[in-house]
Amino acid sequence: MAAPAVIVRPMRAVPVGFTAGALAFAAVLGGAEAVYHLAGAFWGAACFAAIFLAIVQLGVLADVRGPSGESELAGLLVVAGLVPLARLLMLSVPALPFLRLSPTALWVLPMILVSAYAYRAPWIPGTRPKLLGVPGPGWRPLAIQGVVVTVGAGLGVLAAYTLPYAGPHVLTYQDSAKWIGAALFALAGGAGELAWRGVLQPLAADIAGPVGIAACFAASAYVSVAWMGWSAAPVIALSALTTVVVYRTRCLTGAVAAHTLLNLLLVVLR
Amino acid sequence: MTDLLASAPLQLRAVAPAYFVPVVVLLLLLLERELIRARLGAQRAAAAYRVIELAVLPLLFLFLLFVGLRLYTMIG
Repeated sequence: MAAPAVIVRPMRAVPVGFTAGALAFAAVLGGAEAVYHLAGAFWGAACFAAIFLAIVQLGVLADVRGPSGESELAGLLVVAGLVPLARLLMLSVPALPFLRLSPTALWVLPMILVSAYAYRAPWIPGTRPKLLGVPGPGWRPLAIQGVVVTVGAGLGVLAAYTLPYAGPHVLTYQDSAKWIGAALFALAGGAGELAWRGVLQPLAADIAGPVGIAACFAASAYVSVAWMGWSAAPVIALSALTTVVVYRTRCLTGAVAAHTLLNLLLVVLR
Repeated sequence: MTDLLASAPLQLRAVAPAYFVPVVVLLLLLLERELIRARLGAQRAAAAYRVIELAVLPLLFLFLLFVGLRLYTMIG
């Protein structure tokens, strides 16, 4: 019998602790963001570092003390630490003129590394979506991934021509170094999908169902806005689509390709 | 724009205080990793190590990147 192209899993009831924890987490991140805007990058980075350290401590405690049934919660804590880590990396990475179109894009490299490590880590619970390949036989799974990629490309072109932008244009530079900056900017999209949809979302969905998925989407939207400002609107629109598609198909291929393509078209065409 | 078109754009001339925040976090995590060994014992420490290693990995990479760029600036 052929495997269904779309997978529907039963939802669990939302634990009260999850909602309270997610709200507290959002409040703390909001406080750190306020500190960054009021006091500058150093104090902002210090606040995100403190949040990151606190989450690592909680993760260690939960992982060491918790019985096997609580390993999901420990895993969720550990992976949720990627949110303040991303902000810490953004605020404290050296700005490099070499990267031309995106001088602060170096933060993407450690983010890719930690996302890939978390995605591959067997001790983090949860069934992670497939990164390469299509979820099942037949044309429908392939078509779904194709539609996601097409929407990503369309949003990238639309954003490049409609969103106001005052930074350097791709034709400003004649050297090939600009493509490294553009590539890192594009890879940020793929790394984000791997971290948020590939690692965080399956865990959050297992623990809290739709609320967990919504919280994961909110986290990814927050990181996008914090990095790109309001240029992140098309990224958020795509994230809403990939959130649903990755959950239903358990396949990351289209999401990673679409987000990478969106970012690439945005940085090159604007 | 002048800065973006600098003749040696790989050089890291200005060092901002924010660059050192991940270094401090990295040192704290490495210190904690050593303390855990003494506090929990080898078997339970293994569970804590993997959590800390996930946190250490990107910070260590960023630190090496920073040191590499700075060394390049000093030598070149």
